[in-house]
Amino acid sequence: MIRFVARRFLETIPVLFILATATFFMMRLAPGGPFLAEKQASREIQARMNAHYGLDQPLFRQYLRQMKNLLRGDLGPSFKYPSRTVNEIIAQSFPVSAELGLESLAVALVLGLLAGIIAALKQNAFWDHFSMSLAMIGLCVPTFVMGPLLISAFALHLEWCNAAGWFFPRDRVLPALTLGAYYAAYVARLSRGGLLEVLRQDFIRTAQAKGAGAARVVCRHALRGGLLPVVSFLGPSIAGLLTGSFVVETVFGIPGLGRFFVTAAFNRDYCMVMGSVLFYAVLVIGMNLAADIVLVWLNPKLRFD
Amino acid sequence: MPPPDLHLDEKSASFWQDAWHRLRKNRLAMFGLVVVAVLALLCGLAGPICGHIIGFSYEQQNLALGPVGPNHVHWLGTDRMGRDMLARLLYGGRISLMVGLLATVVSLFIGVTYGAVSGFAGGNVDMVLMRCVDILYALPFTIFVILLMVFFGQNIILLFVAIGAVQWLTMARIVRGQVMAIKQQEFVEAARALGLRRRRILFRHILPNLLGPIIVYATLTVPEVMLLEAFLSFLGLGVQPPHSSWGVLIKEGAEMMEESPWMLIYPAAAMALTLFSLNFLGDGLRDALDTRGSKE
Amino acid sequence: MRVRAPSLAGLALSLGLLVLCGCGRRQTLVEIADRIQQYRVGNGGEPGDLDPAIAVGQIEHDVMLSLYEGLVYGGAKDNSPRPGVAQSWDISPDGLIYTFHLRPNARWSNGGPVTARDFYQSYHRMLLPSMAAQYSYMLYPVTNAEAFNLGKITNFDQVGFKALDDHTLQVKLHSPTPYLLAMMTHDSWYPVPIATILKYGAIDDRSNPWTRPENFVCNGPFVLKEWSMNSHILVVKNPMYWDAEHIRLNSIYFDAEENYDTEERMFRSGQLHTIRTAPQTKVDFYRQYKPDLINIYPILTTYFYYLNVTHPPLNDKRVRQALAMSIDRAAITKTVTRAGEIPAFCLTPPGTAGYTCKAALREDPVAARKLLAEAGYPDGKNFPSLSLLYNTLQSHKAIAEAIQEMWRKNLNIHVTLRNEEWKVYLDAMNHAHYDMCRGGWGADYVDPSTFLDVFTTDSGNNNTGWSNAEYDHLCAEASGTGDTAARYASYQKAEAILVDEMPIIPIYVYSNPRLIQPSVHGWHPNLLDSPDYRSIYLVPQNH
Repeated sequence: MIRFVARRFLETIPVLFILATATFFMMRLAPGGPFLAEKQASREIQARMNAHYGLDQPLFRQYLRQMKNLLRGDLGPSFKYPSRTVNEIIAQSFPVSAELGLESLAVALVLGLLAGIIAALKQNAFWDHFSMSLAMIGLCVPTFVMGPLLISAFALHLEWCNAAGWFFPRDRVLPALTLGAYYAAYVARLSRGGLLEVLRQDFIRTAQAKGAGAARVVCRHALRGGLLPVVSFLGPSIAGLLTGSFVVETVFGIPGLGRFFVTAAFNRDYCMVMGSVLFYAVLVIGMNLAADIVLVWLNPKLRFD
Repeated sequence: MPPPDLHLDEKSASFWQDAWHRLRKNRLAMFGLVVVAVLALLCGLAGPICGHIIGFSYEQQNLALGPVGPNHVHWLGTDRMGRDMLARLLYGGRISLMVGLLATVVSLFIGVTYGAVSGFAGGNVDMVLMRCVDILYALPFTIFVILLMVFFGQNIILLFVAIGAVQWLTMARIVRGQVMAIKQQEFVEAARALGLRRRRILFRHILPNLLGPIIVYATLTVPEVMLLEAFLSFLGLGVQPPHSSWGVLIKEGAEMMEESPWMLIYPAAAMALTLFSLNFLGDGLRDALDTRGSKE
Repeated sequence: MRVRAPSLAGLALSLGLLVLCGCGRRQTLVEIADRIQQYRVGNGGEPGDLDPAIAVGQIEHDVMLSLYEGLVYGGAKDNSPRPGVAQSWDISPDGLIYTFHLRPNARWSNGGPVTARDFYQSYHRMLLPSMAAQYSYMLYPVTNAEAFNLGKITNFDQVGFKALDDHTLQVKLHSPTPYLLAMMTHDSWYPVPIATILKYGAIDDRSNPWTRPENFVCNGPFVLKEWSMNSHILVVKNPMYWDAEHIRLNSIYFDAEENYDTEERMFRSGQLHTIRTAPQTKVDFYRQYKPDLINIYPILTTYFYYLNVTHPPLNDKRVRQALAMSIDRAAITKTVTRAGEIPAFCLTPPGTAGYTCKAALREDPVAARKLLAEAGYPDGKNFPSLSLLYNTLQSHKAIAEAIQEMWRKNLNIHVTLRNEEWKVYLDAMNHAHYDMCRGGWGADYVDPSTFLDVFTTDSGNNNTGWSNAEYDHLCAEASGTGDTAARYASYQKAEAILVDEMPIIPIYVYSNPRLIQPSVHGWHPNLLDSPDYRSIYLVPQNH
């Protein structure tokens, strides 16, 4: 397994390189530069701002310079927030979105797995339809509706908590529910489907025939195989959860990293886009690796190759 | 365990007949099928319906009227410009259903093939294919869409390209995980021992066992695609006013959910109805195609 | 197989309790803040920077207003220049030399005196070519300021600033500029702490971290205490401020959330005293049910459509007029925008520093059809397909849809709508890759020149391709004279040309719907929507 992980790390290098290159050229191809504004500064001023950040140099030289900085771990300055570096912005915002991400993940796993297991065991019975309907509502109600609805109910009518902000422990509840509900729906649907596949396989029937208790069957045998789709889904999803969600962060006023994935691209904040993309990529790769390890662990017949 | 679906090659006609027979007996699935068909029909016939029954077109404004709740003139109320919500909903359904179903099928096709090949081949092939997926996951989607439009203009086909480009990734990972698990099972070994060709093993013997997760994930993709379409409209790709889609209607409705809840409720309900029906249909399909028979 | 399903109801109950424990009925933040004189502002976004030479935009402006004080500052009610660091000033009879007498007791927040030299150096920095300050043009009325800023001269002594002694600053202009003092209320005229800036980096380094709370030095009524990105900025009363005894607020909290709907919910739940702009969808509600919480007032910003006069058929004046005349502006402001906007029939908002445009376009669909017919498109026949570009925003979309329908009904022409993401939209606008395009222009200071100079041939913001020698001449004539009556007469003639030629279609003048709690006193609406924190104070409400 150590060899497996080590090889994965080696594979990461070309992946990041290709990604950085693609991102660099995509950003430069997109119309509108970082200093384009509704009230246009004079041409001279714009030229000087570009010069300040080296944007006036030939594209390939800019590319080499950025790659060199990236190798040193320097993600560069933010154009939108000139007094801050991208490293600093990520270092400040990531802990916030990571905390929210972990809390949402807990919500998603607890609610989703519970609903999925109940539904699978009670296939086509009331609880199945009930929990799957809940899950589907979670999917149909997008976060930009769910968030305001929850705020409306708990903050504005019941006055239990603030409408937005990220200061007190209670500020975590509604955003974690909003973000978690969406993933819970996926987890519920996928785990139900996966479990049903396994439950109708022979070895489970054998276990049942031997008189193993239902709970034991589920825990010992069925969950292992039944969770495969959930694990494959969760790999990249956890990376997404940890890096935050634009919608949830703006609806709840959370100073997380998620909003930068959207606003940095809109602002043409080149270095910020590059930084957030690479950071996200590292997380995605890491989480996919973790998912692959879990897949092997769940299914001993698989080997690391 | 004998390979359960080895006979499927010879008798595929009767296999599909059997499946259809089983599906027809599943009342929930048939309900789902009928609802989706009726919705598609209504939206497809939006023109004549608006002209003859509702009496309003989707673009006909009544600024003085503004947003009013459902009444006997406007059955589902009107939006901010005094346009009939029912007409807009029907027209919007055209694009949403088309995008939702077509883009899902496209992403299904790419994702399943890609994931199955990657998982079945394993080794270096798997490595390269999966690292490509990692790269695509992390590329800045907004910029990708903007570039698509810069180079190809605003075009409905681009909508599918853009959606397809992101939606198949998770599907590929799920299928790959499943294939890796199943290819170790006895019946695959048996098929190998029988000397069947790899492609045949993969598509005839392994994939049918993946139908469950695939169908489930595909139905989950539909609402996501419909909402993604609203984001793409935001970027300028997708429907342009005065046309609309369910995703765009939901977005507009969400902004006025406290003042004019009907602007949100009806499009959301339409989408929910579609999703519920597709889910029932999906579950039924899975059961019907499952050659190992029902559980009980 | 039978498994006892755990009670979902029980699960929901325990989850509900969890929520309950976390929260409890308590005083709102606004109620607490009222007692400690903390003014809580929804500032509509995260400031890019707080350096006057770098920052642009309203979000930055509203924070910097609390931190800096220029020679003069804008009054709360009418934005008129008031003595700031300068306690008085003399103007030479020809209007070319201003002599400012600085307060001897003006201090930086680190205790040092604010001197004429500080202003001299700050303006030097503002105009440094390498600083690339976007608002440097606000200093251009000063002799040689433009030449220095563009690098044509390198000796700053040739520029019209002179520190006569520690407390006297002389400013020489190249031509009389009666609105100079109004311009000087702008952020670009603030003094900055040169010594502090040099301590943390180069004078012209955009990444200089001197604006961090731990490094920050300023001369305004408040100082920077906390700056948490995308969360908030906290400024507290500056004890060194020369008039600190008359400042009643102890602190101001600027919330950085950018989503209007989120801000409005924060306001409603008692987390904020005020938000700059209520969401369009909520204005009706507040007007009807909470009129004491909403304050709608005109601001100096005009909403219009640019017409690309190089694209046929928009090169035909009659077509442009027909398009402009067939829009029902009152219907748009009453039913689409709905926040008390004023229909606009010319570019300048009425009553801009006493100037109201006399020329006005007529709304007349019948005459518009006739004009269109004369231009060769009777009943809209053969009218080429034009597109209307706007940046993606619900309000722009609604207005565009309404106008699209008006043109269809009144002129029988079909215009396609094209929405683009912000930067793509700006790029298309700047490169004139559009037929018609949404635009808006907000005043930098209160004077008609801030609007009318935009459409001169050389203006970098005239994106229409329209050029009119007579108009250019009239604008130049106006800016060359110190006599207000003569200036306004020239501007009247210039704007009459603009209204007749119609390179832009004016639609409305903005009104700003601000939400504000009743405990806030001393706040006044004004045309630049520029709050004066010196006069604001909070009165706790009895419940």
